[in-house]
Formats: sequence, structure tokens, C-alpha cells
Amino acid sequence: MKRVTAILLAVAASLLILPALLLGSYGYALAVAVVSGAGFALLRTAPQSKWSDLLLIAVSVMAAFALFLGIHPLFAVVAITLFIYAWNAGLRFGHFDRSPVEDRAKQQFTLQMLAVALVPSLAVAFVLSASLYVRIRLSFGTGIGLSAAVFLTIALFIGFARAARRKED
Amino acid sequence: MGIGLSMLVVGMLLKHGGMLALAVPPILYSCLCVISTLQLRLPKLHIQHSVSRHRMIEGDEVEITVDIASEFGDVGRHFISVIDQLPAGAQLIEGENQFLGSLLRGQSVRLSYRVLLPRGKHKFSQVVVTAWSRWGLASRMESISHESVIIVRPKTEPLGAISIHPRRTRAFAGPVKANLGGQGLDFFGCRSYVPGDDVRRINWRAYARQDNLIVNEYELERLADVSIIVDARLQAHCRLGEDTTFDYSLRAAASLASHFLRVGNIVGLLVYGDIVHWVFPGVGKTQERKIFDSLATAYAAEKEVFEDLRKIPTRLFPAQSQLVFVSPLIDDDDVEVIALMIDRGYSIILVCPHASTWEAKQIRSGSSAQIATRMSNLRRSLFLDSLVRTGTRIVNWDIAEPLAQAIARDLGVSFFRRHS
Repeated sequence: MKRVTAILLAVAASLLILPALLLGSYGYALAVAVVSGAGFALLRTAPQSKWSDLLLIAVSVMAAFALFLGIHPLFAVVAITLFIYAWNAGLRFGHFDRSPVEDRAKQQFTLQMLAVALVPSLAVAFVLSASLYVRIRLSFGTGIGLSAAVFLTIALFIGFARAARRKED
Repeated sequence: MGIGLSMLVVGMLLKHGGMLALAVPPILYSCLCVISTLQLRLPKLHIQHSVSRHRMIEGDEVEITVDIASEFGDVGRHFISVIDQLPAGAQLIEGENQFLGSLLRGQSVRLSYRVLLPRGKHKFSQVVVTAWSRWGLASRMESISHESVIIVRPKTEPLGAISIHPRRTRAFAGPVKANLGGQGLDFFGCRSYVPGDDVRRINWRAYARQDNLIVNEYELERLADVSIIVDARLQAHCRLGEDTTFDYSLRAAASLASHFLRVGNIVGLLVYGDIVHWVFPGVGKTQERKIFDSLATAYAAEKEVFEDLRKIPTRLFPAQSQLVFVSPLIDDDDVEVIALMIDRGYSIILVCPHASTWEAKQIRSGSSAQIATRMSNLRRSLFLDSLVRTGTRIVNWDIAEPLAQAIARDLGVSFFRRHS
């Protein structure tokens, strides 16, 4: 798990640091490096503490700040998604590290975790980045349709959640 | 979710598309996490936990095997982690106590590992099973209870002959010389013949000299009650790296109990320090196991009530029996208590563990260190001399040497040869 967290954090940090260095924002790059280092130390030692939640907020603010420096949203989106994955992994699977496990199983687990973190993160980031370049003329009808679609999605989500809860009980 | 919504609001206020895009991953992630958590079912596992031994000596290793069989329903393929929780103090020597991977229905795996356990009663009570969803967004954890208990008793060492002389012995034949004439092996004395005496015991030479029938008497050998008292007052002991003098006291008590039981005595145990841990006197292997179990779980405690030895419940010990104290002793009050017990008719052997050699090694060598060591030894000698004057037989045991050696020196046959 430490390996997974380290790789995810390193990738997330480099996605913010490298564009910042190219744009000449050295202070920002240094700040990201410091926060990521602290994040790694924290997720390594106490992944289930309140501090890791605070760290997630700090990284989110830094990712948002990156947009104002002129860094492309694609980098910020992938970075924040990967960091969320790392935070989640530390939170949920931190206790695995205390018990030894076969090397082969550990490698398989690391590969699976990296795959399930990187693939959806990139997919979501590409879709969102592409959507930034799509221009839709929002007429009254389109607006109403979009609102109804969003409303239906939320209703479906709540309905699904309730059904699943009932099934569990 | 909070982070995502905050970014969404800020993005809308600033009319910043990038910020809105940044708000989507946290929100999407939170929603998917909720859905995954609700969908996720824990796999049904059948877990069988077995240990190679339930009783062992400290320093021994135990092999533990966990068989995990999958009884999945309709949940499909999962990545699961099964961790066999180790009790506190257990040290994994070889193997793994965690399974990480996927299990299909009907599959089974076996975990096998070896652990080193410290003295005590160790419970392997639960196996923690964690399963997570296909995309790693949600997880569920469950503890499956089971109970395997391993009792690790203190180490014992074989001891040489220890002569004890309690004032009172039991009526049954045993190994202790009862200071009474009768049937035995060692010559005790002569007396006038009375009808009914065995003719073979007539001392014909004495008859030739005195013209009276004289018979030989031999010293009776009887069973004796031996009560072992272990001082478990925290303030009486000191820490020596990973061990304490208390651990050594327990090992000594175990060795002595084993020895006295082996030669056929009735042995009881009292651990004095927290509450009264008392093992009723008995004989044989069962009694040895009871005493070892009690010593395995003994701990040093700091209780104001048991601050000194005055609260020792002497009513538990048979009158005028043999007491074996295993205690480093603290002050003159303890000496006074021991003197009082001797006045009441008990015979006392004091096994007094100390760590002078260990302590001398810890402090730097130099003139001041030498003086400190000498002062400590002198103080100890004075203290023990005052005990000798009360009639206590003392084993002055430096824990750096084997207990058997100290007992042979201070109580064994060679001691009596030296001092006779």
C-alpha cells in the first residue's frame, strides 16, 4: 500500500510541478513538492488520521490555484483524482501494511490498484478537458432539458441507494 | 463531496470552466463510492484456525495454520485480504499472516506462519477480512471470531538436590527427612527394644555391650508441604533490557516447583503483588501444569495494599511447613516479616535474585563505577547477613549465573560439606 500511495502521490505532484516549472512558478512548484512530501509521510505513518483529510483539502486548493497560474485543467484534474485515490487507498487499506504478505500477491495488488486509479482518472480528465472546448447554445428548452436530466439522475441515484440499503437490511 | 461542491460554487461564481471541471472528480468519486459501498457484499468465507501447540515454553516457536475456503454467493470475483490478527507481543518469525488476492467460489488457500510468543496467555481471537470493489472505490471489513489459546510458561532448568527441613511433615512416605525415628534409609539413633519391633533391627553389638536389647532407628522420610511465594510487587523489581528481575523470579519459581513436585512433595504457589493468586497445594503432573499456567499469566503490579510483605496470607500455608520465597526484597520491613514467619514455625528458603553483574556491565568502567559496584555489593551482603541471623536459608542468585549453580552453591550438598 505504501508503494501504491507513493506512486500515486508522485504522479499527482509531478503533474502539478512540471507545468508550474515550465511556466516559471517555482514557488508554487516548491509548495506542491512540500505538501506532497508531507502527504506521503502522513499517509505512510497515520493514513487514517484527521490530518490526511486536511491534506486532501490542501491539495485540492493547490490544484485549484494551479488553474490561475495558467496550468491546463487536464493536469489539475488528473492530479486531484489521483490524490483522492491515494487518500482513499491509505484510508481503506492502511491496515494491510502491518501484516506481511507474499511478494507476488503484493505486486499483483499494486498493479491492480495503479490500474484502477490511473485509467479512470485519465478518462475522466480527458472527457472534462474536452468538454471545456465544447460550446453548447443554452436556450430555454435546452436548459429545461438539462435540468430535468440532472434531476432524474439525482433521483435515480437516491432510489438506487435506498433500494440497495433495503436489500442489505 | 464537500470539496467538490465548494469548487463547483467557486467555479460558478467566477464563471471559470476549469474550476467547474475540477469540481467534477471529487463529486463523481463520492457518488461512485456510495454506489460501490452499497453494492459491495462481503464474501462468505469458511476459516479454520489451527495451532501446532497449545502449551509451550518461552522461547519456543509455534506454527499456525489458517485455512480459508471461499463460499461466495453471487458476488463474483473479489480482491480480498484476510489477516490473522496476532496477539500483543507476538513476533512473526517465518511466513505471512495475511492473504491478499482473489478467491473464486470453491477455492481455498492456506496461510502458514511461525511466531515467537513471550510468556503469557495468548489468544488468537479474530481474523479480519477486508473486501473491496472492482475499482477500489469501496471496501468492507469484518472480523470473524475464533479462539485459539496458547499458554507460554516460563523456562525451567533442572536443579540438583535441595535439602529442606520443615518442622512438620505429612503422614505419608516421601522424600523429606522428618527428624523422627522410624523406617527409613539413614541411621537416626538407638532405643530399647519393645515387643513388636522387627527382630532384624536389633543392634546386636549394643546388646553385647549393655545386656539390653537395643534396636536401630532410621530417620523417617515423609511428604512435605512446600509453598512457593513469588514477589510480584512492581517496586521490588528492576528492568534489565527487555526482561525484568520479575521474569527471572518466575523462571526460578517454575524450576523450584518442578523440582519439588518431581521429588514427590506437595507444592502450592502464591503470587503476591496484585490480588492473591493462589494455587492450592497438590502433587504430580497436573499440579505442575496448574502452577505453570499460573506463572505464565503472572504479572508484577503496584498496589498500595501489598506494598510490604505484611499482608501475606499465612493461613493459606500449612502450619510449620516449608516456604520458598522468590523475592529481591526491598527493605528492613521485609526482613522483619520473614523473621516473624520463622517465629511462627515456618522454614524459609529465600531465593534472592539480583542483577549486580548486569548492572556493572551497564555502567562505564572506572574508579567511580568500581566504588559504586562495591558499595552495592556491601549493602547487599549486610542485608542478607541480617536475614541469615533470622535463620533463613538464602540463595544469593546473580541472574547472570544459572539458578542450579547458585542453589548448588548455597543450598546443595557442597554447602553443608563446606559449613559442617
